[in-house]
Amino acid sequence: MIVRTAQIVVTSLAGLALMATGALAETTTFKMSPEQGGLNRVVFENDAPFEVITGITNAVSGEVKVDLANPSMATGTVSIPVDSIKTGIPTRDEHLQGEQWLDAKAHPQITFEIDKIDTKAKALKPGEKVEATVHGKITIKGVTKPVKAKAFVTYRKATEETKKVWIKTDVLVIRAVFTLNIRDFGIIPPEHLAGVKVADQVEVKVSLSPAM
Amino acid sequence: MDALKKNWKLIVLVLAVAAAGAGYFVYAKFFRTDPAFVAEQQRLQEQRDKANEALGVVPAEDDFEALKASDEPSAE
Repeated sequence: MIVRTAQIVVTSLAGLALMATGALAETTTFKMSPEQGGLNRVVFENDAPFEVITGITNAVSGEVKVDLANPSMATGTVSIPVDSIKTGIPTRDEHLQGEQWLDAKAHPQITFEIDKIDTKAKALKPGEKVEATVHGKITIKGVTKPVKAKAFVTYRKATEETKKVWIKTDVLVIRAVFTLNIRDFGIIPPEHLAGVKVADQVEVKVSLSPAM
Repeated sequence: MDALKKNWKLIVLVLAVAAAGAGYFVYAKFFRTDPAFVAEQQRLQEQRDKANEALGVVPAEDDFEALKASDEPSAE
């Protein structure tokens, strides 16, 4: 009798554990691709005393996996081709992609990997903007460094209105800002440009709308 | 020498045109923002504006300013 009771208890606990795991595993994958046009955008702003260089790309690929009931466990990757970053001046773009700067031939992608998200929000509810700190790793020119970015995340359900503007499914609207030091990634400006036309700090502004 | 004295106005004119041409070349090559790039960015911005309106979210720049004001994020 005791053995039978123990078996029932163990089986019940195992069942509960499985149910709990199932609930935790309810992740939704939101994907982004260059086909989304202007909806995804990453801007690199280098504000030096004699020149402001703004590099822009919309060719963003990747995915964010998030449990809407527990956003802090979100993971994901974002990648952009280096040769898609444009500053508006073709000659400068050629320089930017050259060996001395981003070295697009040897390191064709910039990637960002999301490790975890700190947020006070317990869940992502439709239409509710959530403030968060995104912790991750960024790889530029083959060098990987930890990064934390302040971000707003909003979960939006698809509506008739959004379907009219190419947003056919539910989306996450993610806006994030962080700064980088280019020297950390082995990008060393020539002495005559350093601090004059090229600053060490680059502000990165990320605007993403990954969709289901 | 006489030829130079007689034609100095023409020579100055030719030099001025050459200098202006060289200046424009340098400007176009190194400083002028590509008009096609500007037009493409405007098109994408219009796309984003419509999407923001449909989604009921503020423009990204507003969020960036709010985030920067709240704290100064940085590389760890």
